[in-house]
Amino acid sequence: MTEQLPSSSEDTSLEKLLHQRSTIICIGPGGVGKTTSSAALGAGLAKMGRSVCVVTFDPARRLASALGRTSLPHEPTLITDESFSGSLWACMLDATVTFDAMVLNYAETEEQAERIFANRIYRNLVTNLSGTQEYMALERLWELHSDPRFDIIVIDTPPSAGALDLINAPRHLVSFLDNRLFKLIVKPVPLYLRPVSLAARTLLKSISKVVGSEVVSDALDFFHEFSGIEEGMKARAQQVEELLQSASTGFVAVTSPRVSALRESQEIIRRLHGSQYDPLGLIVNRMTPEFPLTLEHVPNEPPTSVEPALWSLMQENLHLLRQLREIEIRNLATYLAQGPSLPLLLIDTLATDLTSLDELVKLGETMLFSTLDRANFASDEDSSTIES
Amino acid sequence: MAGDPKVIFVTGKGGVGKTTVTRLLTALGEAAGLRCAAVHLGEFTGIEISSEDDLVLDEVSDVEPEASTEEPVPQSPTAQNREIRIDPADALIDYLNDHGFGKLASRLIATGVVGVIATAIPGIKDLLLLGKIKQLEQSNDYDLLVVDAPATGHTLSFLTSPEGLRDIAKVGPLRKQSEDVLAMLADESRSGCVIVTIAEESPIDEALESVTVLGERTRIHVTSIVINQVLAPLSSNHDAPERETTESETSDPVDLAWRFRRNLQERQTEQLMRLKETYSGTTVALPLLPLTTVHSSLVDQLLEQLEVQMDLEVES
Repeated sequence: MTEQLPSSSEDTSLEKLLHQRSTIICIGPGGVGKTTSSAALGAGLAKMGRSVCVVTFDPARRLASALGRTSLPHEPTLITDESFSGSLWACMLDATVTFDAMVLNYAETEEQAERIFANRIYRNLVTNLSGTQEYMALERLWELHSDPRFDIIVIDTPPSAGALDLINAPRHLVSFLDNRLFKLIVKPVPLYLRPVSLAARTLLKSISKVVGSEVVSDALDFFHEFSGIEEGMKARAQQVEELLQSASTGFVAVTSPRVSALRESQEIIRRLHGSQYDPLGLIVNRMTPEFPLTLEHVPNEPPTSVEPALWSLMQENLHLLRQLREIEIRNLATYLAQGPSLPLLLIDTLATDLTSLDELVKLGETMLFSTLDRANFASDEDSSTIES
Repeated sequence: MAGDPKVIFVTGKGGVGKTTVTRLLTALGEAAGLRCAAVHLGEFTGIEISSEDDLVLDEVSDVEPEASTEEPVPQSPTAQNREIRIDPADALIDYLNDHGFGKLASRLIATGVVGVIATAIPGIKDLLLLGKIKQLEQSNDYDLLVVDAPATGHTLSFLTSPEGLRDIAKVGPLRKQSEDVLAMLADESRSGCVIVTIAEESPIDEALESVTVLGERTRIHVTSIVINQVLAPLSSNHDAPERETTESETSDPVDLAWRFRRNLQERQTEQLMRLKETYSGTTVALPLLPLTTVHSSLVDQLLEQLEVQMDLEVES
């Protein structure tokens, strides 16, 4: 690690890092509070006077109710009222609606779109094809990014199925739809290419014998109907890539101190790093809070109001929670040392559920204005180690 | 464990500890003297065709279904294998070999066409994996197979894929394969599903939703819901006693930690109640243990705790 630690005069915060970014992308594994973090960042930015739209996937009911809704629609809905200096909008991405809209948009005729919608394989693809959700997230981002109502789009990403990440998924999807094998079969072939096409056809024939010819002909129908549309998708993927690479976009990674989450988030960060999309910072949610000793605290003397039996339970509890925190910090140190050094923000497990917009704003402000650490865990070295 | 299914699919939202529960169930089975294996599922890689030259498939063009001359690929690993990894590409090769398409298989893999086919025919990957699991189930090498299944949303498409494919493929080996797998899924003595969750709002929502949807869309039997990372009550009587704090603005760490714990426990209890109100099947709570990086020791610790808990349940 040759990277220099910033001196204390360079204290930074997410607010400073995200300054002038109009697209904020929260990435990370599932189950680490990514949706809540996106909503909180959006709420915090809206409180600062910005006009923000948060795009989520499948938000928790309680988060929706904290936003004053029972559920979120596909179209952005205004959450805040006039008392707010900025405005907060939220919507939930429906990949099917987005995919359909995109097909309508790129199809040459309405009939072509209708034929695609009627294809048996299309519906399956929309819901099951890996990369679809990611592609649609970026398609939606593009639509909203040019919407004059919003200064900032905060996009929560779908919990990736592991193998594909947000950045590469669209390219995979397009390359799949743009597949040469199918093109060779579907499109009229110039004479000099005939042998290739023949070979491909023979191959398909063989495949048909295994899976049944109907399956293959359905797939061919689909590719035939879809031809042309992938050109539009390719062009859009290019535009989105440029947007993501531009200085107006910032990535924020989100994780938790659990080993599985850290392992997955490190992999995501590593891939982003490899594609030149370095996240600006890493939020670690769900930390067990630190319960630091205070001057007034007398360790072994129960207050008169507390029964000794209860007091010993309470001390046992403090010990357990500290032990948890220590292990969490050690997990962080182990895993974060393996990746690029990122400004770090530790967020404690919330003691109570978020029930109102105010609480969400408060969390967002904590996230935006706290001073970020560099991965530096030296302060924890003096604490006693635990034998397990 | 008598009467328990031979194949258990372990599923749940990401990050709730599916892999831990998979290992735990395997370890429990072993403790009961069963020959067990944990099954992990792989992904297809590479859906791009590297070069158009690859499509000139001279040696494939004369392929006709024929009896495979090659030795059957060794399918079931030895019984000592506690961890089995099923890779869809391998499963496809096995499948093609079994159906007399040995030469085609190697060609498909070499050109990357495999990935394309798998993607073009939704569900074929899942069917291949399920077919492989069925094969392991039918072999006499194992008494219990614990499958680390995909996260809930994906499980549904995973477990419904044979149904979908059976409808698409009217005849042929694919249909046969679908029907075989469906028969396994529908048979309570052959397979079942364990849903893993944690005592928080959206994971519980999702677990309840999967019970409903799995019930409606597949015939697989949900054997239990496992709630992972449950805070054990600190006191022997289950209600944590109320700590009277006269001075509410305390900064004593013992007090703060106690309040934090009580809040968390209240939230968990609330979610567990909600689960039990809606779901009448078996639920198993696993305690939250300090995280370690050593997985095996976590499983050992959980095992110990679970045995204690089961003893308690038997007694009560």
